[in-house]
Amino acid sequence: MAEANIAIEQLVSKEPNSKTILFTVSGQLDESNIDDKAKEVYKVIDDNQGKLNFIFDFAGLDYMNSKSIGYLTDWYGKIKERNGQVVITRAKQNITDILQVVGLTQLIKIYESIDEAKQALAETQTAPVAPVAPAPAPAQTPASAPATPAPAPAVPATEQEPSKGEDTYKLNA
Amino acid sequence: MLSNIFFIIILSTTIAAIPAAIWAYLFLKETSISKFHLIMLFIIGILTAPTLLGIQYLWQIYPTFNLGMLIETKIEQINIMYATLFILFGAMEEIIKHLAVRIIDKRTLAITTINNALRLSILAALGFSFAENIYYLYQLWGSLSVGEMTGVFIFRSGFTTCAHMIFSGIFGYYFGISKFAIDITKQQRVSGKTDLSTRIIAKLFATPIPHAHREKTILKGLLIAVLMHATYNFLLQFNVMIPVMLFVVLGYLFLRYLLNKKTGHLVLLTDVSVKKKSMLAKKDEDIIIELIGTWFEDKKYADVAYVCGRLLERDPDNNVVKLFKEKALDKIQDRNMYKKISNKISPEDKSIITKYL
Repeated sequence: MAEANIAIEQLVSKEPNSKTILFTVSGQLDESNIDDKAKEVYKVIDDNQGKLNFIFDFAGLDYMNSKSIGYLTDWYGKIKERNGQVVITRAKQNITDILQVVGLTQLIKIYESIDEAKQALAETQTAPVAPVAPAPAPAQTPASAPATPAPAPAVPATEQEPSKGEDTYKLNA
Repeated sequence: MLSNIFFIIILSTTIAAIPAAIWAYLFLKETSISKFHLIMLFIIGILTAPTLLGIQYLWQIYPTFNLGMLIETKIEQINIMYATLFILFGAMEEIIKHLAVRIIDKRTLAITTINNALRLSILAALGFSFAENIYYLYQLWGSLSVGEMTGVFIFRSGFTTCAHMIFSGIFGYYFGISKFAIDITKQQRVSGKTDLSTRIIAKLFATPIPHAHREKTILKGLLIAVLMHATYNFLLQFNVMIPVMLFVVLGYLFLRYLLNKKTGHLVLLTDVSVKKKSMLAKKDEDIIIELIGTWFEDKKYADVAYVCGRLLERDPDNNVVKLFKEKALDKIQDRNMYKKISNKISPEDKSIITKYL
């Protein structure tokens, strides 16, 4: 059974009726532990009413299985329904790579540090209209590319319009 | 002059060559298959008709093996007897035409796409039909008026030749699909939907799932082609042309439906022999494909199509991903007219990523 840990910490939020939760995830999220760990996150969502912002610190996360990506997507959906934000910090290259291909980095921004993520969230909260900024397009790296730290987003989370190419399938179109 | 056998054969051949040339031009003008292989297949296709005649001749010499006679003597109910006979002859014709395609495919590996499988099958049918037309024209020469002969020629050139091409085309389509058995069964496995009949065949014959799926697909193609062929022959016996013509048109529409379905489920020009290397680590790719499978099960079709599109940028020749994408698109852009009109597609879709993009 793979080891995985999620430490949950509530951060100080400047915005009233809003909470920012930091999830420090470490180890390997796989079939043996993901369902249990996911329950902890769902509990936070259920226990806290009102607007929620999530910061996932993936510095210690070595592996995510498909189910954990599915959960992450689901959490994003739930947080967005409450007008909150989800961001990721310090993800390793292999994790970033998968999230980029899945397209999650177009919704969930990845930052190099927790402070940067906090600041981005604060800016988003104070900005009157804040469109979601896309992550850079997935790089065409070979399968054997060495692991390098995830690149910081080039611009703050407000300036770029997400690209909606032909592969974007909007419902009710 | 008309009593000269050679002259009649040459004349029949020349007349029968006209529709064959026109149909061949229409179907093969854009193919990438070498002309040599096409000519070889056409010749083998021609030879399949006399081979069948040879088998029937052998039945007369060795009546013990005469399947036709067996059916005639054993089945008393006249309609069932005729239906069984038509199925027998339909099966013989379809199998022998398909064998011609198999011979060329085995020697040249020409069939790497469904498109090629279709075209080669149609060409084999054209060869068979060409030989059959020569035989009929030769047989009827002198016994019918010029007007009647013209009618027979037009009907056989148009409808009978077309019917042969449609039946073989359908069989060819399934033969082409069977080439993708590995990808199709992998896609089914990832989405947790392995076919029950495939599993039974695999178990019965102690064969791997992809092989069982391949054989099942070929058998399905043969069955459809044979049943259509038998129905066509059955309708012909009444000498009423409208139902026959309608049946050919319906057969054509069915083939068109299969082609449309194919472009939906598998890209028409996908070449099973060409594979570019993935730009993504296998372990990472497996995680994403697993996720796609789960989301497909969860009816997140828009997300599946979206993720597949992104993954195909990294691994453009991954047929499993292509299958998932096309199937998801089929679900989104549902071709079911009722669903389209009643707008019952979107609420079923539970996608998240595409909802917030």
